[in-house]
Amino acid sequence: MIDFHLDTRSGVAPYLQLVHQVRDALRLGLLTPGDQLPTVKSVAGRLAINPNTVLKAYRELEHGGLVAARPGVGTFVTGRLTHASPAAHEGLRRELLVWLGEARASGLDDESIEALFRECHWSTQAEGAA
Amino acid sequence: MTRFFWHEFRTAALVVGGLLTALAVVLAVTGVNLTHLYDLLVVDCRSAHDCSIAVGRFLTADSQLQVALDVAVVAAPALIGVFWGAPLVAREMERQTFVLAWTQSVTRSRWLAAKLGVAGTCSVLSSALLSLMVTWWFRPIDLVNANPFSSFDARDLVPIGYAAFAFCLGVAAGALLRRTLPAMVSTLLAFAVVRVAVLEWVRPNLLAPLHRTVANATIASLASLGSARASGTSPGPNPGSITPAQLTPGQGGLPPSAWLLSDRTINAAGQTIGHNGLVGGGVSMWKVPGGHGLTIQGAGTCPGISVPGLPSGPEVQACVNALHIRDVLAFQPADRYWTLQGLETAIFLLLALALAGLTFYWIQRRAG
Amino acid sequence: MRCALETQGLAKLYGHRLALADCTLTIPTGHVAALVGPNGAGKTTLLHLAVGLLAPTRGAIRVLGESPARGARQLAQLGFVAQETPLYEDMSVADHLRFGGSLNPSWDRELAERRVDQIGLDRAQRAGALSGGQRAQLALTLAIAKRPQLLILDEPVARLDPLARREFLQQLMEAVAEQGLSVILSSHLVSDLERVCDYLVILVSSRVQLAGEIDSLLDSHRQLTGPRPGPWGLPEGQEVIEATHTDRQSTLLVRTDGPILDPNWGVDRIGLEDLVLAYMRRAGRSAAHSPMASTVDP
Repeated sequence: MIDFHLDTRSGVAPYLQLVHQVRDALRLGLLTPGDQLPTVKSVAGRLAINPNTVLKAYRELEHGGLVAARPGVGTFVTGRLTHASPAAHEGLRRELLVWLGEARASGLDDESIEALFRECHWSTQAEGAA
Repeated sequence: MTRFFWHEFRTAALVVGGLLTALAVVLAVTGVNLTHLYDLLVVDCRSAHDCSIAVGRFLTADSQLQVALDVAVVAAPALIGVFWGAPLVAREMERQTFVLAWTQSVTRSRWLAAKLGVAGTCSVLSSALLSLMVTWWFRPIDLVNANPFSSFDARDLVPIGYAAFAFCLGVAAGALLRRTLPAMVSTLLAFAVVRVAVLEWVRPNLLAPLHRTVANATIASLASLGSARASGTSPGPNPGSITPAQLTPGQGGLPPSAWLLSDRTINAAGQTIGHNGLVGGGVSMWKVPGGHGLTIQGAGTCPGISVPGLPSGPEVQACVNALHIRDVLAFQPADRYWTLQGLETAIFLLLALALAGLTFYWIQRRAG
Repeated sequence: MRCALETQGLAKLYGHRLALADCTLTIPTGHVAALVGPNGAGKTTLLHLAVGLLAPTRGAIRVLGESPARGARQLAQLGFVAQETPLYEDMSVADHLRFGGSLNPSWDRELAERRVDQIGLDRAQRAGALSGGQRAQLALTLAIAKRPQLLILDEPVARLDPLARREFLQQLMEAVAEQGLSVILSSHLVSDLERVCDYLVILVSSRVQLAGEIDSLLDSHRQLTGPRPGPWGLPEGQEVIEATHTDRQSTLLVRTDGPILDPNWGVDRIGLEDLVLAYMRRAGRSAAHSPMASTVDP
């Protein structure tokens, strides 16, 4: 089961953070169809956030066809966001870890690594758009 | 809810219950002994027609316990008011817990009713038990003392009325002052004031007193007249002054066991010339200057009495009779004892109810 | 729609001292509403009026659609945790649960027991010996286990350390999720409550400065940064809440319904705390400019 967390200083609305975390988990294969999301009560209780926020996030996910609420039972994952197989994921992940190791070895700090990643990411996106 | 408040109050109630039980044991043991002593000394002596020594011995039996019990019965209502009544609401106000209590699912009237019900019942019950035990214990002594009015405040019904009143007084003071200690102090003061006021001004007038006019007898012994004379180097403007004389109601005076309220001495014309047997406010009886006749201030002169030295007792008595000096006695007869007990108890119970009503009113409209 | 709290020209005087003046506000049900304002804004008075501890001097107040009469039925619908979390110092935790049970017909004993276990309170402990956080939790338990429809909390976390604060809010949110409670809580700080509240009322000197669902309030406010404009320089249709200027630059907080397309302005979203502070400052300024705002006709 997914474990939510919240960053109040990020400027991102709390419900969106929850949505993103579910989507990320779906992408990474941590959640697959049939899995149950934590109950609204447990999320609200654990994170000390308004249950309406959790409900809003779950409704948003439901709207996107990723989850479905079964009244009285809970909310379950119905959709997928992974296109590659988890095995492919694993390969990419290993490569990224290797790359991160090299980046650190060549003296980059965390901020530089993130900046580099963002820049590459943007440029590939720009290419895709062009 | 009542069960909860009972649970909360149970420690205090159990302590008092324990004390009463211990007292009951002491009183049972000494009381039986006292009854035995009564049978032995008093009943016996009555048949022998000389009781003074026996009665004296009997009345001093357990004298410390007697005093303690009388004090306990008189003090108990005050203690109930101070320690059970005053903190009942004041502590909730002082510690702000009324905010918690008044936001539960019961109205504050019901809340107060439950609290009053529990502590009030305990107050009335414990004072009733105490009064019952003490009254029972004192029965032989009261029989010998023969005047029930002398221990009116500490027997039978009235202590229950006092306790109910003191309790409600404490509660009301607490609700009004909202602080425990000031409420306790003012409860004690107000209770004492009301008790004394009732004792002095209300109880004697609850029922119109009976009056009886009786002939006077002097009890001024010559010895006392003489001693006054001997010591007096004739101060004041009347060198013939011989002292106030003590008059006492004569034959057929106060009925037995009655409560004497007032004793006026009147002259032939019916004017009051003195109170409680003292005639003339301290200087009452005069020897006419020159040695002839005896003047009783406010009443007249008996010229026929020739007094070279001191008037003798019979001479004074003759003068009193000749001037037709009498006593008017106002009193409550013994058979009104229970009526007066009932009335006074009712008065205190009504006061208690009124105070409880005020407390409900204050609690309802309390803002802040 | 049924309102959790609705007031109209509500005023409360203590003798001649005005604690709340002409207060008109509406808080719908189904929200966790924050009543935010500086100390002395009348929050506590308003909440005490709502639970019937006080009676209004003037005006009308309705709680859950009814006047907060002191009737038992109305009292049963409200849970209240007062600012000082008064408890019976000499009574144990267990006694407090018995107190709740015997004064509330709708008492949920199982819920109360479970919450006490969850919080980890020792039932034999005297309330006087509890920590601030434990007191608050016990008071909350009492208020929740009576199964109210509306829970009113007066400065619930102001005196708690961060850990106790978090635990308190966790318990509160769990109860809200479980029971579908409406909640009104007051605070002079908003940062603690940002994640738990979805409705905001800003109260300054008895006046409602801003009220609404937090998401839509945040959506309708923007912070603009740009060159210092002349009087003509602002786009139409925007209410300026606050403006600060340097020689060359202006920072504006505006309330707007549409997007701001003027390229001269950099547009940013604003956080809840900044939003609240801006409105409080504005209220402070208007009170300073009009002396009548602070004194009210008798």
